[in-house]
Amino acid sequence: MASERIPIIQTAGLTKVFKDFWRRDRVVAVQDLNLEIRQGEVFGLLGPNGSGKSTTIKMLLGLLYPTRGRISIFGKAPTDVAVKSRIGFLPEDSYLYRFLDARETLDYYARLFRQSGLMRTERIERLLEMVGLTHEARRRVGEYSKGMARRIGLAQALINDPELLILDEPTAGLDPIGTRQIKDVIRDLGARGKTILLSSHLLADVEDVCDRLTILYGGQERAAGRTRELLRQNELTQITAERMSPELVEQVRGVIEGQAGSRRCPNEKCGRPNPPDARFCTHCGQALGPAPAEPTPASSPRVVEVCEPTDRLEAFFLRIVAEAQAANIKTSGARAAGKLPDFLSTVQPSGEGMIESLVSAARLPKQRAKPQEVAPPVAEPTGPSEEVIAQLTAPKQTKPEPPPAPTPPPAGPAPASGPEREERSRPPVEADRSVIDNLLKQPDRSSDGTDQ
Amino acid sequence: MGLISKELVWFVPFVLAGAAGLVAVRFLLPRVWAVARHTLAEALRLKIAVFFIVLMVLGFVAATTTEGDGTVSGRIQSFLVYSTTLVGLLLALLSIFLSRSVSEELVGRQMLVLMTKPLPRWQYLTGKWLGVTLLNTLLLALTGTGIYLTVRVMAAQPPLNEYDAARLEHEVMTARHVVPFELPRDVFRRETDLLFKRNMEEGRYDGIDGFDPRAERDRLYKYVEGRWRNVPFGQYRDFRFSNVLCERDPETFIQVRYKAQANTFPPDEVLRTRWIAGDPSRGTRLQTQDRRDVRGRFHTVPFSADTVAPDGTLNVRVVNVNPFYPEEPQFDYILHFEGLRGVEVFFRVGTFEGNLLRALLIVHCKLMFLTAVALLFVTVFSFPVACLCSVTIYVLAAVRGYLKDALGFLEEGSVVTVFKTVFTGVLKVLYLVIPDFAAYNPTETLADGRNVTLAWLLLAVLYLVIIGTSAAMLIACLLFHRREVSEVSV
Repeated sequence: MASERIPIIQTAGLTKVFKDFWRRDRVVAVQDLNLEIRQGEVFGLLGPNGSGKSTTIKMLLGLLYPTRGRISIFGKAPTDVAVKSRIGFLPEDSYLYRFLDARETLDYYARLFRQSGLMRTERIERLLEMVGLTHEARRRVGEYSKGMARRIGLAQALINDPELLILDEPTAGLDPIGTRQIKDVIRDLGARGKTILLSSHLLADVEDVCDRLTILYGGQERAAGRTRELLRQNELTQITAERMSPELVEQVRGVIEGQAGSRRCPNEKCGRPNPPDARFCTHCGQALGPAPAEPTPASSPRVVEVCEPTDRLEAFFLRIVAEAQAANIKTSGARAAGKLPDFLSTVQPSGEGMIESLVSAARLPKQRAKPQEVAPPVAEPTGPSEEVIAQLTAPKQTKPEPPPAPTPPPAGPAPASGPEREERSRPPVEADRSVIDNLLKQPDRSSDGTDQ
Repeated sequence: MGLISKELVWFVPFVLAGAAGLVAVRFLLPRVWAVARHTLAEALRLKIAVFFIVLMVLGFVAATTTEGDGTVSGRIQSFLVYSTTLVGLLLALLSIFLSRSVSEELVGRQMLVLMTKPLPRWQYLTGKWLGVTLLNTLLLALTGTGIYLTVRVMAAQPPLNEYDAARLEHEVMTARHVVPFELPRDVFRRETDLLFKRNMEEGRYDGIDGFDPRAERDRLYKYVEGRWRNVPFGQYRDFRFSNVLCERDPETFIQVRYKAQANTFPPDEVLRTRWIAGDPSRGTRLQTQDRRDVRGRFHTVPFSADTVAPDGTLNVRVVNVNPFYPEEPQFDYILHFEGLRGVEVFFRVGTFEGNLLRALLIVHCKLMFLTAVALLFVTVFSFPVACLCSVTIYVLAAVRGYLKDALGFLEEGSVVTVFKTVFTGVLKVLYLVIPDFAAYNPTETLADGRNVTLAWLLLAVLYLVIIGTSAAMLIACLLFHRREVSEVSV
């Protein structure tokens, strides 16, 4: 199906070599990279630091020029202005103008797409709603937190209703809600036929949203394919069923081991299968117990799925990188991490012990009266006093202190007394999908006002 | 008022051209307009412009405290020199400084986002240039208004004396066209030939090693010219002026300004002369003025405008006799009028307002050029280096004439000769592309009440804006087009 779609990004033998002042080759950042990303795909570009992901993205955007090879975006060169009017880009940091507020920032970028005043106003408002920053739209973005800046960054990337969205670490610096929102947005945009190229270190994010992915190491492609296929563990089969009795599990195990109906020896040292009618283990003589009842059809658990289990992307990623490192492939990024250096000493838990002593001692009326007997200064590290330990480890014959009275749940909106409480009282922010709908429902591209 | 409005007619096409240009950019190149607006907003919000305005205001206040020669006209002249120089200097530095915006966007990586938008790089640079130019226009309008109002307030002060009042009205708060006298070069050449021939015949050059006839002729020509500029006692000299195209209204007047030296000074250092203007054979009035002038200073003699012939020629004769004799003693000295400004004719052609406006526009042309140069450097180098390069270009352009003279004064010697040769060679190459800002410095002209001509302004537009700025921007765009805007990160 995917192969029938139009290729949006194509690279052939893409190579980037960074040179030094004397024009000598310094770093091979990307080497002979062949990518093909088709319309509507959510494509993940993975790799450790220095693997060439950002360089690749920058070449795709025309920010860096390839040393060798060819790039085609929408069938044209990436430096083509008409191509850029169909792309949205969110870099690894939002790189905003500190002296502009959110609305002005979006207005500036919208003007570069030659959008009319009405269109600009409408889109800016809807995007601000989507990223949940309408109420902060008049604050200068220089005062924004990193998460807020990321949200404005995402909004600017969507201002032109792009057909191709390139996201470099889109969830970096975002809280879990923000991360979830971004993933929802990516999924929604993907569902609407947008092509998305995603580079991220958060492998769970990539795993969740990407159709296909490529793993780079040392500027070279190390693995590529559909996400599910890459993560499938072909050497394993996984059976998913409703709850089974232990005996049935044994039977299944027996079947799998090629001995249907066999009875496994309960002796831990033996554990070998026996014929179904055996009463004692034929190997060690251990009594096998009564034969299990035949499961009736009505009580038989239903097999839900028999499949090959999938690996977690993180495990897969680490395996690929480890293989690349074992193969001694050159990389300009960091190599495998080594041991802790010897000079890093072990800190004695003196402080911790002292604090525990203090906390425990504070509960004892006897010691409360003698504060001077509390743990000695830090200079002489020592554990909690034996008395305290005895107090803590003694059976509960002494009357325990009554537990603190449970705090009743707030009956209504909690009185806000700090930012944390304010945050909690605020309803969870969700991506406003109507904005995406609206962006996607533009009747035709010519109405966008772009001068392609 | 009528004169002001009539004299400012020339400004209308400039305003219309500027407005049409902005409208064209706004609608035909909206991305350039967007970048320009953004640059302007950045300069205003980051208080850069405010800082420069504060500096200028302080400079203005300091300039108003200058006394000049103690007269109101002198104070205004000093203020005009200081204030316009300060405006030119500070706005030049501001233009260079604002170009850092490009560098900052490269370092701050806003360029990574910007260059992924459908914004051609040449439009980005043009937008930056336009933004800085708009800011300069705004600041020049503000400072120009400030200069004008300050001058008006100063001019409203009571003058020191009648002479001060007349000088203020006719020599400062005005725009006068200047006509230098015509040297009779044909006569000089003939006399030079005769002298050279006589010396040859007398064998004065025989036996001179490396005799250079051309150099000798040049020397003789200077000798003849110097002799002509001398007016011995009891003799006179006629200075002829052409193109004195003033209204020949007997009610209006022209001014003859001169600066005379003498070989021996009278005890009171006052030169007594008779000046006669007009040529009745050409149908003009003849007017005589007897003068007592301090030697070595500029003096102005007013004559009726109908002393000028209908074809625009004027004959002015200076007679080296004491017209006040025998009441005052007669001294025997030779008068000397040096250089083209030895004797000049002035006549009013416009107003101070028009003059100030043209002067500020010439300053603006220099700023446009400097902005383009600063953008050119900032597309290649990081900001500190680019800033230094731009300031160097500014200084080299400002001291071009001075450097030429200074190198000429260096004494010959092995080391000096090598230095001079190398330095001159480098400068010659640089000055192929660096304009002479002194040639576009209207400060003294404005303070002197001389006309800052429209032709001068148009020349500045042609050389500094159309040629200089376009060339610098073209090179900047070509360099920036090939530049990888992303920092090297692998």
